[in-house]
Amino acid sequence: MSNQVGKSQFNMRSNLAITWGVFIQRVQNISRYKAALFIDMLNPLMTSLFPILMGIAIAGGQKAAETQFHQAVGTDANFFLFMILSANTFQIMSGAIFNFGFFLRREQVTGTLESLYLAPVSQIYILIGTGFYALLRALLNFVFSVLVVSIIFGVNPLSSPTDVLLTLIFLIFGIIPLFGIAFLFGSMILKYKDMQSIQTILVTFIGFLMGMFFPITLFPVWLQRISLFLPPTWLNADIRAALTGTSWVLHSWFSDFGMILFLGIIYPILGTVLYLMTDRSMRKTSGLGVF
Amino acid sequence: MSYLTDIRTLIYKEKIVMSRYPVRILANTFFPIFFVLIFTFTSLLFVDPSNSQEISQLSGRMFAGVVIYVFLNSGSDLSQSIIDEQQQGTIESLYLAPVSKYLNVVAIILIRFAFVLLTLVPYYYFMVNILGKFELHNLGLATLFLICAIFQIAAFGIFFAGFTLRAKELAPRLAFFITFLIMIFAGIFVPFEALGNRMIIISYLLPFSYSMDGFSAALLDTKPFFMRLQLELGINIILSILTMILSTKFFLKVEKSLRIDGKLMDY
Repeated sequence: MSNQVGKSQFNMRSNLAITWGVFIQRVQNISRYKAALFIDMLNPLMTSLFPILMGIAIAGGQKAAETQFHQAVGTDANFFLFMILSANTFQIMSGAIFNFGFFLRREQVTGTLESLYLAPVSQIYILIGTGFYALLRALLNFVFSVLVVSIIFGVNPLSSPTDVLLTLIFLIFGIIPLFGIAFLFGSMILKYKDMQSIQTILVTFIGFLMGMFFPITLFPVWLQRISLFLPPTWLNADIRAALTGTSWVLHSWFSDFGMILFLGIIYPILGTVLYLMTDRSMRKTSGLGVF
Repeated sequence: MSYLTDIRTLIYKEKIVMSRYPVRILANTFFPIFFVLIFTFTSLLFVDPSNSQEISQLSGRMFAGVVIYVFLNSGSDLSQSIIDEQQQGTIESLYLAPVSKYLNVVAIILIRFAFVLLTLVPYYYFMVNILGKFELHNLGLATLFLICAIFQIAAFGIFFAGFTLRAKELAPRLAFFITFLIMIFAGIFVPFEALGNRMIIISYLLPFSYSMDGFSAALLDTKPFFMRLQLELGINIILSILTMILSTKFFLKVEKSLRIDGKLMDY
């Protein structure tokens, strides 16, 4: 009987241990770069400053900006909180994509990707470990930046505990479909190598389509339809709806939640399949270490 | 003369490296378009859609911002190139070659900026189609301000190249963060009037503020925020030379110190 370790010899427990190991390794790795962690947390503040200051300048004062904003969105949603939440959702989306892409690209250029994939371990568990790491960072960033920015702008995001709970539920479940996009991004990195460029274009493209700082109702109908295929559109609109009172996409929170659950199944499956297909094809041809 | 030959060779090398990554070329072309679309749609939340003059002003201001932004983005991206060379292990071999290492950075900046220049005309037509027509004035003076801005951004890129060698992987994140700060405080997309009495102090300290202000005021024939245009141009020329000298000195100092310590490859 062969003593070679095969994939079949890994049970659920050992697979979970692999996921946990990858998660811990990623956490340990980023803990070396404390300033990077801090900058990540500050990013939503900087990002939300843009539309806030721009709005005030264009409208000709804070009051005028608020009035114009209320007319445009159709509710009396808090202008500052709306922009802060939007910046956070964008950060979560770009973080999910960046963290996975960064992991992959780093392994690729340091030459460890090929050896990592020679290990008798299913890649799915490595991907899940990286996904959990991205989830942790997204949640930490969200909580920290909303608190800091709320203090600066004098907004109380905790005025209604049920809304906060709803927001957290949407946040946790809304991140799951983002992993699908991250895996899709991973397959693009394997194929086209250039991580930063793909990330830049993908993130800004999705940022635009998800209605980063504006409701997608400003789009023409055909563009709104395309936008609704993207999970970040739902996450963005639903978090804003839960905390600022703007309208739900499907007019009720449970319909929107159902859609997020649906996307949470479809996107990760789609992303994983595409990633594994690209991975297999790359290993057959040029190898994963080529960059 | 040998400098010219060196720089030509280095530009050629960089061109080959760039051609390996066609996605980067596509990204550099389309990324600012999506970026501008995000801010254009956001700004539509705050304007009266029936006021065509207001929309035209917004369109012109966004275009002026885009022009400076695409250069700034390209300059701040330099830190990632340095990290790439470190990770791929080519930086040490590059430093063993008998060529000015400073010129390598200059060559990267030159080829990137040349590419950015090519995209300006499509951006103009893009903005006109998205938001509406706006008039371009004083093209000669605006070009002078733009040249100053390009010099200052190149100096920023060179400074950051040196900083990247020291700060390692923190540098690209920091570059992104600082670019964001510059975009806010240098009036690239946010007008200076919106910054208030405290935040405007930061704008006064940034060299880019003066080039952006001059460029935008000359191009759109509006009143400059800081001072009259002739004086602003003089200040910009001095700042461009000064920032270039200081950043070059900084880069050469860092590079020399890391080579002596043998830490050029650490990232």
